[in-house]
Amino acid sequence: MSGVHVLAHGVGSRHDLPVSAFHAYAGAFAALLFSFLALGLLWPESRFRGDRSGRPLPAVLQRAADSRALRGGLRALGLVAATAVLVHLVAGPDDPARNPAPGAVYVLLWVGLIPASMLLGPVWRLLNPLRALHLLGCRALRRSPDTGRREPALRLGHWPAAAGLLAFTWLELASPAPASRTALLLFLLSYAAVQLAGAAVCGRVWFDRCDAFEVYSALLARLAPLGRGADGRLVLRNPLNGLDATPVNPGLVATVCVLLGSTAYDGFSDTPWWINTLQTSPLGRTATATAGLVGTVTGIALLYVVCAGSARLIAGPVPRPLGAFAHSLLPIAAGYLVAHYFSLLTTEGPRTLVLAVDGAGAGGATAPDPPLGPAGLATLQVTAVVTGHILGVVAAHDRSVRLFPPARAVAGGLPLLVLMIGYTLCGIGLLVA
Amino acid sequence: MRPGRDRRPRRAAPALAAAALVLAVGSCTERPTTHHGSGTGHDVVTGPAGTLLPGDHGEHAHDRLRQVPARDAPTVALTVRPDTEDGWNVRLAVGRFRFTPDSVGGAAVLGTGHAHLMLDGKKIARVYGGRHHLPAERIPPGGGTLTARLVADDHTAWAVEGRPVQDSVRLPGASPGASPGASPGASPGASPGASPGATPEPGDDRPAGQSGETPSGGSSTRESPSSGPSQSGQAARTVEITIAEGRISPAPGRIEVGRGRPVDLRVTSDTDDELHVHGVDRSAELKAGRTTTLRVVMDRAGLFEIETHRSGLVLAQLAVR
Repeated sequence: MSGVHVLAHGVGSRHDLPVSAFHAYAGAFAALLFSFLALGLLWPESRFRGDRSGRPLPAVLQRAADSRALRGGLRALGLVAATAVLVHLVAGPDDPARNPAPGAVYVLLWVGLIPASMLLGPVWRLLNPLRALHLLGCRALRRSPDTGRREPALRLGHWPAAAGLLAFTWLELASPAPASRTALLLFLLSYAAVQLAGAAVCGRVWFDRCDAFEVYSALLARLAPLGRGADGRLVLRNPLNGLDATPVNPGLVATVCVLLGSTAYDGFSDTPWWINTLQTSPLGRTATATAGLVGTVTGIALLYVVCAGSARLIAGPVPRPLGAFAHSLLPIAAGYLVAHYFSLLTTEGPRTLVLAVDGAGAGGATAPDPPLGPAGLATLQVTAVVTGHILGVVAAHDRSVRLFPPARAVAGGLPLLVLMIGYTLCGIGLLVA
Repeated sequence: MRPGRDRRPRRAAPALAAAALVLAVGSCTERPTTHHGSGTGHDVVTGPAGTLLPGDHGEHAHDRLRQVPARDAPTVALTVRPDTEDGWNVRLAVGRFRFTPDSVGGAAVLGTGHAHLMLDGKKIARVYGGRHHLPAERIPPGGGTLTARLVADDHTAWAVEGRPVQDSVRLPGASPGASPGASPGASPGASPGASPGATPEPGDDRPAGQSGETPSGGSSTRESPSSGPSQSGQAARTVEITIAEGRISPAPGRIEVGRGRPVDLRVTSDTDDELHVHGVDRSAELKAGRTTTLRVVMDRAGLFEIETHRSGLVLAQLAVR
């Protein structure tokens, strides 16, 4: 029945209903209560041991996880899937209802990486088709994939990843036709070109530090119960320990702020007020949306900088005051991501898979209903945001008692606690709006 | 490029399937498929002629239902125009459907058959083509609801999700020619099952979705629960939206509506455009300066946008609970 049409927001025609006032107040109350209890009751000395913690997996599982067959298989899988997406983008219909490629990028990749990384670890590292291409290229040239000047990648850190994530979320949320074949092809090819050039100069360390999707997956994987210890062994560990081991690379704060800001903007852009602003703005829709997205990211980053700066003023100098607490924003970002994208993944994910397997039928595949009713969905969303908040508060508390002198640790943690309460109340506010 | 972790069994070599399985344990690509509950899958129907549902659907009198997936199902939109001499000219705009009068009585073949015309749920005619004339004497003095239902050659009704494929319009009783551009409340006809096709007012012979000659005055910006009761006992809600020079009035907002409750969207645009409602995937042509009425029945909870395709404006959001 459907004609050819391009959806305004990437893919997915169904958005989540606003959560009820009951859910919102319950969530806000839980977050506030926990925050103030945390002030008085959390441990006075740092407990987290980062990558020195965890229970190693049995040797059989270690070997299976590191086996060449699995790694090679996943690499080939990534390449095959990438090729399939490219084929659909080049030859498929220019209609997201019948072409699985936009769904594959915006849902299976972007949203699917969230649960995959939070359960299994940095899976995109294994699937990344660009890494596979780089490896193939190096083999053809008979050189080691590590050949290259490492310093630029180390110096840039996650800044290129932050830029890449901002570009991708701009394409999804602010560009005029996010699901059109041309826009996606242009983005994916130019992105691939930049990453491959970076890897050619710096070696494969480039992907670890600068590839937006690898960094995205690796940062979310900090919350996975599965991780690598300092000795490289696979361990089961408390996600808070994994979080504590987050390496403080340059650009970490920027990357986390882009994640938080883009997700917040996505929620915010569903409100009638913003829709009306976009459609009546004299700047035009794309420019206004771009300003909204960049403004949200900048606002969130500024708030963080102010709060981390005041923590330093209160509690005294610490090395790298900004990066030291960036990891504690990760669970908050993850909570936002889960709350905003759960229903998209469970409705558009299967639809995309059916389209990809079944080919585009006459009318395309229909998306199933989300597995939860409105009340269940609201509970899940609020729980995700509040859980992220709690993990963030605990992570920041542990870091401040480690870094600050004992007498000033609690006071030094206050600005960050206030910041997190602010982020969380905004997050819940966006769910209500 | 970074495609998703989508697997396409057709393309993936068998060796990869094993690797995929290892990953699948908690991976994102596998979990959602488990939400594909029974009955929502796309392989329920086996033959080309769908699944015959067990009989006796009280309200869908006469016809047993033959269920087919929505993407294969025929569609019908019913339009009526007063005749200058007597009664009404009825037009059925069908999609994915062919009238097959020569094989009536035979086996059901998807996308073929004829239509049953019903007045207030009682069958009054069998229709073998897109046009039919309905004499005024057939219509009771108080008017009635005319329904066109698509049926197969074996007289089973084509159905989607347990509801017959049909469309309804409300016919006023008194002399039809005298009431062009009747009030929007005059079309509460659609039964819960009637969703394909727009419901225009009488006095209109354009295809479904375009309605009377209502002027596009700025005063027609109204949003109110109105209209008479429909057969499901839920009043249709009428929402009026005007687009002029890219400005929408009233400004885009949320329209709260219950699941299954019909909503009549009356949209007037100063340019030709296409109206689209997400969630039910319904579209209607907008002609410059004319009011188009599109009736939608939302059957899923969620927030859905009403938008125009050519100008790409979001007109409002339907918050379906």
